[in-house]
Amino acid sequence: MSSKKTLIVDDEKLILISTRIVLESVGYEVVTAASGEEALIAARAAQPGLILLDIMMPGIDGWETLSRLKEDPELKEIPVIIFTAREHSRGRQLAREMGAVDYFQKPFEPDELIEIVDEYLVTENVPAS
Amino acid sequence: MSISASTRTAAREELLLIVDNERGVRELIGCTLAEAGYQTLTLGSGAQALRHLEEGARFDLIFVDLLLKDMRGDELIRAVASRYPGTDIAIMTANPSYETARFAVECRACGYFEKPFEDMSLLLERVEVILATRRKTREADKRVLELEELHRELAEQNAVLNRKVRVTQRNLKEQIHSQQKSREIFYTDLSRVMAILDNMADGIVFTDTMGKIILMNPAAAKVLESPTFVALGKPLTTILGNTELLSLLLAQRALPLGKDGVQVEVSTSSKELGEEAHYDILTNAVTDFQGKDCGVLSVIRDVSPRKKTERLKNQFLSIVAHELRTPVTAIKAFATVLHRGYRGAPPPEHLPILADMLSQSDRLGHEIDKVICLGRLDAADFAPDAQVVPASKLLKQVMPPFAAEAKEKKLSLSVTDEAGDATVNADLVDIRRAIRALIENAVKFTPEGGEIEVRLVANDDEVIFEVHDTGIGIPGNRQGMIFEKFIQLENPLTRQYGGSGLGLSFAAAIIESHGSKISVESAPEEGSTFRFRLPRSESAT
Repeated sequence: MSSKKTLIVDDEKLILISTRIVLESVGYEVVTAASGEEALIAARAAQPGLILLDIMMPGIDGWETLSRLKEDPELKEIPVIIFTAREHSRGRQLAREMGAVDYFQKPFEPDELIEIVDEYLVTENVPAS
Repeated sequence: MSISASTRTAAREELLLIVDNERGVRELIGCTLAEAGYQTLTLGSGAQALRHLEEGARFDLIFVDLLLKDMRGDELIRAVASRYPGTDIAIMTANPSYETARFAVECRACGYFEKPFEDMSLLLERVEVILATRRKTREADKRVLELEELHRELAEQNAVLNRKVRVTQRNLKEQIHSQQKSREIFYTDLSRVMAILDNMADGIVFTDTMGKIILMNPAAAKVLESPTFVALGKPLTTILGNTELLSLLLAQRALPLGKDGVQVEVSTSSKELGEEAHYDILTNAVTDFQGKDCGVLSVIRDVSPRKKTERLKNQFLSIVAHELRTPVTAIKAFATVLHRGYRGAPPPEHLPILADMLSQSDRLGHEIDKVICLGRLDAADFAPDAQVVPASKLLKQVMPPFAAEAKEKKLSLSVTDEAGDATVNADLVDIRRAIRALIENAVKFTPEGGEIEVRLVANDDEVIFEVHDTGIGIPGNRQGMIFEKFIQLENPLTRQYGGSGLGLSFAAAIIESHGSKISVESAPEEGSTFRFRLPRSESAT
């Protein structure tokens, strides 16, 4: 899986726009989805190299979306990074247990976002730490 | 007048007066009586007799002839009887008649003699009898007086005793009354205490030194699911009910309990409501006023409502966090894009504005973190969301937001990262927040031109972070306070330095949640060094 595309999933339009701007500015291709359901469809269609997944969304939430991604043989290899604006106790632990490779707290540093996307898309799928 | 006293016979005490105008008669009587040992005085007139009496002479017996020259004998007798009562009078008359005899009876004369005297021994005999009677009467009178005196004394003593009895009675009554009153007060107090215990929301269980239940209030009975009337007087070990809580009470009693006791928080499912209930159980040893052990007291407090509130608060904070962070994320991203010139280079005069936008949105993000995370860190069951991270990541992205302010205050801000490849098991986000709070604190309280050094080093066991400043410092006696919420040491400083006063307590809570502690070395006007240590972890794969 060597796609340079990043799928950003968030019900907040502002987050989609701002994240897209940052990643596109440094040359990444970005696909967006505004819900969990859309994300599953977009992931199948775009085959992204990385998924940034919000937790709190109407409909199926981030956790549910993550578990469906990991159950799908076609999609389960795509690295998923949870990024959330909520305070979850043990969110990081849960994310790891459910197969996400990292866990981000919003507001993130744009530099850090770029760095982490670099890590997963430039180097070929380095195993998660 | 003549006074005669016999020397031949034993002298008698009595003084006798003979009043008769016939000299022969009075001398005859006087001599006869004097010879018999009496002291006698003979007078010829009533006036003389009265004068003697007036001058203070007292006589045991007065012989009065009814026929005197200057006054009638009966006049003298009446005068004597009325003025000098107790004087015995014997009447003499040469003309005995029914009237004179009646007069003698009337005036209570003790003798009635007819003249002329035929037998003087008869007279003596009569006088003897009269005086003997008089002596007896006198004695009797004296005895009567003595008895009366005695009687009076007894009456007085009686009165004193009566008074004493009355006082004692009154005192006893008062004592009984006050005892009744204190009993009443005691029972009123007792019933009040019972009412308080019965109506208390907290459960109370008191066991004596033998472990027997002495007190169990209704709240405790309800929570322990064991009726009070069954439990009272029985050893706690034999009580049936909520086994989980009962065994906890027993376990606490097995510990060495001091006055402060032990406290546990326990969750149990309530039989009644079927939902989970949370209790704080505080058990401590109780000593009586002499300091002797008298038993163990457990207070069971239902903290379910507080737990629920805590849960709701955390939910609320989580939602608020989301709502506040989303726009900050966007602003930050947009400002970065513009500042970096990703969408074409900005006009040079916009650059500082964009830099300010970045640092201010950053600051806003940090403030949101402080407020929201403190609530989360306060939760009793909070544990850090830790993972193994390279220590070098701890300082990343932490410094840039301070660059502008440091520059403005002409602070020299140096960073030394010598952690190498050490790793720690930590919540990266939280530790960074703590580090930020510490640096922010240093920047805030260091005056213009000062120095701030941030250092991250590693030894064989630990990764050590420290921030040293040349700021205003903290007096030794206040260093314990600075980690409390909303504290800035001097009130005027609040205005001078601004800020919520949450930074250090926020940092301290985070470091404590990682099982460590922030230490501080400081001297006023010299500066401060804040330091914390995290144990090195085995490197992740």
